[in-house]
Amino acid sequence: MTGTPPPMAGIDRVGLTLLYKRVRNICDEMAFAMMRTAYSPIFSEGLDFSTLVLDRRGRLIATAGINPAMLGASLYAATWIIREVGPENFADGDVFVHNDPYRGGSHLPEHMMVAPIYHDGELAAFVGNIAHLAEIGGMAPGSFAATATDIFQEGLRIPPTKLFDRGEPVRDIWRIMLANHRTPDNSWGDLHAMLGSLRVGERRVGGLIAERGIEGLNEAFEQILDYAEAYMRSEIAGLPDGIYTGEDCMEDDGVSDRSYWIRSRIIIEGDELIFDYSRSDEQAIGPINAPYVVTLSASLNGLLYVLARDVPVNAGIVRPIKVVAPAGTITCVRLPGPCVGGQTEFQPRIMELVLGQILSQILPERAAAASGNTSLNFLFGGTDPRNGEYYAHYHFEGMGWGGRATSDGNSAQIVPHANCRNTPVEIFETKWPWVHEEYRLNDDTGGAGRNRGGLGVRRVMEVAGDVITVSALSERMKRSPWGLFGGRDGSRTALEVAPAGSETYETFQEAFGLVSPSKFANIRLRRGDRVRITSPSGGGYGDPLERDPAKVLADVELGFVSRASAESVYGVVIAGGSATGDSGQDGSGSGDGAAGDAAVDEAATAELRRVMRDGVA
Amino acid sequence: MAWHDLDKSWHDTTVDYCDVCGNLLIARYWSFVEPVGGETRRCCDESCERLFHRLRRIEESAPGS
Repeated sequence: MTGTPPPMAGIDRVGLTLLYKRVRNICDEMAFAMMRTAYSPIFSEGLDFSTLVLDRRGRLIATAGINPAMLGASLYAATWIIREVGPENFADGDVFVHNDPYRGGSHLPEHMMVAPIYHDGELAAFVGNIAHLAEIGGMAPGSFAATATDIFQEGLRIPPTKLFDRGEPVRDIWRIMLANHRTPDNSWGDLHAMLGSLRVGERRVGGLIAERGIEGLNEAFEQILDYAEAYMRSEIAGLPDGIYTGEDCMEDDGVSDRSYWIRSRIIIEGDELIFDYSRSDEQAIGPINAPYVVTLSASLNGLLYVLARDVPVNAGIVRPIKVVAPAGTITCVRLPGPCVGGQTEFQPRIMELVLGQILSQILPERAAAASGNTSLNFLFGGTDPRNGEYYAHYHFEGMGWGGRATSDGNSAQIVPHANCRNTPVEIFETKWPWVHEEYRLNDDTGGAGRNRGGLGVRRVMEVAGDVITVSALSERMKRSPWGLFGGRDGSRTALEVAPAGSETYETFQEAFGLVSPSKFANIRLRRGDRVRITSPSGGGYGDPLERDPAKVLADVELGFVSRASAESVYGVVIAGGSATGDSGQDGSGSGDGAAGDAAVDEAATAELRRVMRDGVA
Repeated sequence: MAWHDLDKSWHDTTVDYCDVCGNLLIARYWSFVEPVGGETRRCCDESCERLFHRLRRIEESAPGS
């Protein structure tokens, strides 16, 4: 590109907004390119990736708002690659890759690519992306080894490494990577989807440079960062100074039955805020530890759910914020500690600790009760009997979100820190040897409250191949998702199995003598065995006896709440309709809990609620 | 209180962490000596030294908070 215009001397607010939106749109276009060209459903269906535009120093300017769980890595990973490699060692056409969780990655499956953009031989900006490869080797298919005791069991670790050198593939690196993945064809396709996304970004950012020049564009980027910083500072300054604390725990680490506690305090002083996790437990033996950027992501996401909702998410937002997560604690894993579950289980735990337990002390109207708070990772792999090829997949399950001040929690959603989507039944059955028997909302489980927790789901599927190897990494089997301000707790996770020909389900822990009910690796199931996955529901917000009786009636009509629970939990008496008291069994709203001319009996409800509150009949 | 290069050979793939915040140290680090105890700390930059003193001040004014 030639004919560079003179540098811009600054942009007004409208111009800056338009430019930022354009950069955001570039990120979105990069994301669509990745989604449309990927081989693996975790890209094309799950959307487990992020796309980034960065300035010439590697600072994040914009990201597609797809996966907030990658925010910490988005903020730092590229900067660290550039620092470690040295900007003088980049060249036009280079692409670097890395997945090192000790260097800014979130966990091994998530690979980051970064490419420099040059203009007339001068470094102008970077584009990057982060994406979860479904299979990268290690001790368990799907590379989510829930019983790993070091990083080397979790897959192939790649420090910042040149994948393309001046536009040419570095074949030795490609061969090493593909030789260590169980499904190299998928990796090949997905890595090229990432490359394609970078090419889209390069073209679009190149267009911006042609319009505005390198200096002009980077000056505008600086203004965007300053704006985000000022926005965050003004929001933090609006909070009362003080020290606010909370704690929650990881139930176990898959290796022992011990819980690990996360202790957080938020220190607000003027327009600055510190997240301090230094009193948390030491790092776990099993893979529930968090790399630094995961703790950073969780903290920022918890904050961004209640503050500065329109802030441009970029490197400016962290200037007034410090995260203290000492190395060697569960909040900042040290080499060679395993950490694949940190991103999916630890991150939501911290995020909701910040959002629901700590910030609710000063912003109760913006807080939420706990969601099911697990990604409920279910992994499997084997040889496809239809073609003899090896397959592997990483599936995460939807669950219920917590009730909040203004509404009920969503049902059947992926945990709130990641806007991912689950794997559709049709994909399961066309790509892998599973047949579904049931997939439905798990009725009557949402934590009761003035605003109810969302419902989890129940999935039952049968193995349709000779052998399939499954693993799982989840939480919320021993401790329920908590309610808030008098709301009831949500329901728990369950992972069960019934051998072929049996109608009796046992937990995987009972059936296979496992240490943990929620974390296991490499269980071999056989044709006809069935797996039942029950995801947790969200906690309720506020006293259930304050819930609008009309909403309770609607819940009964939709099959979300049984008639019995309407009375015993919500104190709502429903007259007319079906007398069975059953909720719907298919989650489709066809439940017979209040079919027909059902209505709230206002007088009986008022009396029942009085008795339930006062305890006097 | 000074900047230091983080000298690592090309075949050393380990990483180093900030003694104050836990973040990654890359290429160079800022060091300072603790006023109490005299221990030398390696950290990200001057802002982490200020953070160290800030946390200590908070701890002294509100122990256990």
